[in-house]
Amino acid sequence: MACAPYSLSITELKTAVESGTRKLLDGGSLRYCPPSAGGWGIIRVGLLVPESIMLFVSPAGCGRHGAIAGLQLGFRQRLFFLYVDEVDLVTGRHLERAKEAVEEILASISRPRAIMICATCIDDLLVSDYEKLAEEVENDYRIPVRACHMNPIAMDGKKPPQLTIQKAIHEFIPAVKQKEQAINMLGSFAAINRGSEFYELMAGAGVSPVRHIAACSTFDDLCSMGRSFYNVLIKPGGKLAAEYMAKALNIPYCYAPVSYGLEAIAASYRKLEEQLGISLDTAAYYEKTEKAINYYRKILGSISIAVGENINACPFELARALLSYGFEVPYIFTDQVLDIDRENINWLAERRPHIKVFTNAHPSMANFLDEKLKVDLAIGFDAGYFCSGAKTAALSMDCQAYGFEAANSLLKEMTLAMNNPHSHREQMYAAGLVL
Amino acid sequence: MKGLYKYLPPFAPDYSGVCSVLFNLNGIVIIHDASGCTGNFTGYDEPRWYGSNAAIFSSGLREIEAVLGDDERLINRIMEAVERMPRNFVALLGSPAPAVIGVDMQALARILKARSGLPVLSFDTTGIKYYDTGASQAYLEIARNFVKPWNGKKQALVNILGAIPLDMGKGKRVRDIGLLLRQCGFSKVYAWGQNAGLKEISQAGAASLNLVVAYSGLAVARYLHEHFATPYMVGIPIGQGSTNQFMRTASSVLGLETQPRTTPYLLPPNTYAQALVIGEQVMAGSIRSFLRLDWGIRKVDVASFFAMDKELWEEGDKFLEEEDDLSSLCQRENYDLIIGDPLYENLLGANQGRFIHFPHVAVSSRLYWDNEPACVGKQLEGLSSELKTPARRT
Repeated sequence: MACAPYSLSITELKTAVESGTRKLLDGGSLRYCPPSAGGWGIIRVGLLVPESIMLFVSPAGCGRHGAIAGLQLGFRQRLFFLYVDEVDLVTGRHLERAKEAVEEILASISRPRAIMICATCIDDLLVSDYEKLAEEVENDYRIPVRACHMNPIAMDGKKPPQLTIQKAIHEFIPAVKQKEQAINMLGSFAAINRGSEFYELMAGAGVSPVRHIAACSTFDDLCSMGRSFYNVLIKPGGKLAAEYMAKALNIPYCYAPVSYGLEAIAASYRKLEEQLGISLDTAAYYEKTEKAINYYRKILGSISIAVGENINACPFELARALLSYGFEVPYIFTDQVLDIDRENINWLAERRPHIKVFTNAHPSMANFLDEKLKVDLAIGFDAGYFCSGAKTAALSMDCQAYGFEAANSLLKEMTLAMNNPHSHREQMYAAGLVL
Repeated sequence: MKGLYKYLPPFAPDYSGVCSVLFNLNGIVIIHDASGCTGNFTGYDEPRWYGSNAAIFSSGLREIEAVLGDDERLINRIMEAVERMPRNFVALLGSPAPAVIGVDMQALARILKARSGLPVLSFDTTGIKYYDTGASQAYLEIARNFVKPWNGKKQALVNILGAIPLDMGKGKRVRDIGLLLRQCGFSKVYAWGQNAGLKEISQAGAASLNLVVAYSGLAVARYLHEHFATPYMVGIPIGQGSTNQFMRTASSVLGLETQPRTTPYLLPPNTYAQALVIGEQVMAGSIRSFLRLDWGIRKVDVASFFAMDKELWEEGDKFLEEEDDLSSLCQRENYDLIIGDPLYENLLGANQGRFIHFPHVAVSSRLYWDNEPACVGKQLEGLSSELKTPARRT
């Protein structure tokens, strides 16, 4: 006998959020891990540091997904594993062994410009001091070394791994007193698409270059981020990195999120104008995008869309944008609710009170495929998995749209998915998602 | 250096082996972890996960519970799932974090059994050992808990033991073995870890034969031999010679004779002097038999990073503890033919003999799991055609 999948209507969610709920799935349930769960993972993000290597110190099992994703996506050769055994756990000798491992690795490869040493959940519990280890290794080899943590056990705390890893990769950047009229983009895993009007607008306002860690081809390029006068945080995952850089590197920041709704995009630009003290003429881009929305709306028709969590967007903002474009959004799949989602949840509850919100992680989702939910298009691999008859647009983290270009690229991707659908399974496995 | 891996990915861990064995048994399986370990299994070790409704969950362990030793929350979460989704049993598995804080899995299992009224299996998995150890324990636990006493006459039933995708791929090889066994006269073929549910497993005592197709099935085969006097065979029929031997032996258990239906096999020219097969011991040993019987290669060694049983061990075989062991072995022995998972090739120098790819899911995960070469029986697609290309050295 299958149980009904756990869900809330958007109206129920609104009420729950008002009373303090931050997750659909509270601590009272086991967690289901659908095939579509996961993202870039700590290892892949850590290796965004150019010319770096990573030593991953853990029991053998912990690094398997990251390593296989590394083989799939081409970063395995910069990744080294030191397996921890029972004796290490009891004696803590793996920290000494990590130093020996670094020595052996450095003897076998070209000298890297930076080293990341990654710890896991067990070292949280053992209170192993990886920051101290990193300092010692750096002193021994005169190579910048930082510690990072793949510790999902800390997921619900103030320093969850998806945030601390972004901080760690930016910790290599040295403080520079002399600033340039340049900015850094934080929070995303990819630099903003070159096709975005953002670059043109910034250059027009005298802000250049626009830096991002993924656009740095050398370690020196990464260090040059310290010369920027301002950080723009475009996704919440970079918050700890932004706070760290504000304090340690004297680079203030503002949150101007990636958005897909026209008004939200315009609001991000207004915020940038205020914070950076510049003027941006975005009217032409607004109008052009408005026309593009009408054009694609006619091409695509009145399609219904399920929105997932595993996407390059805040699900509630994306749902709001899609509704405002003229599409229907009957289902949202997400677990987490951030403070920034409140306004969008309220907006959705007012206009579409019956939107159903499922959490990917509830145990009842194991039987979800029996539900056979019908939508035309799913955005995100998770929504695509649970709505198995739908065509899927991944809207992945691998490329980063921003500004009005985000709405345009979203609509193009939706159209491509509708007209030229690919196997969900193949697309999803090719993405190398790591939970 | 011990424990330092520069080329190979970490292999499938022990909890993945347990989950794989339990996958089709309609239980509630919980890995006591923060979700990353469960993600290893669901994303990278289980080709059947996509589209399945198996109830395999993470306990969602968090720091505060671990530090406070708050097991009651875990028990409540499991009970919530038990009440929501009626299943046959509960299984509770460890992972590195509970190993560090010393969670008593057996005690938790006893509490859960009392509260739920269901059979509850527990496994002290740690993520330090490999899948074969976990799978072996899981097979034994299933037998101990679910196989019913049997004092009647043996039936034309055969259990295939060790048939999890981590070793045997997505199912075709096991189905092919099943077809051969049916030709031998067995009317019931139950592959544990694949098509056999608890109902089929409960009848295991009535089997006339158990077939072990991977190391993980050996311990349970011995258990069933001890308790039900069921004989067991070890090996996978690969190629003409092995398949003929396999069918003769399997048929003889039922008092039948099987005549090979093929024309006499002509050995091809002896192209290779010495070969190495790297992989799970039973599969690698079966490929060894194929190379000997069908290709006349006399010296064939088996090497494995996974557990190796003494009874299957031959002189020249090598247990590999570290990456370096494999590269040293190949440099020392000068093999002109090596068969193994494609990822092993990265460890070998340029001056090696022919390397034939034979993917092993427990090593290379999803990288090749959709492209497993057919290897069972007489009609080989991959291995034979590959072998026809002569050995070359650069």
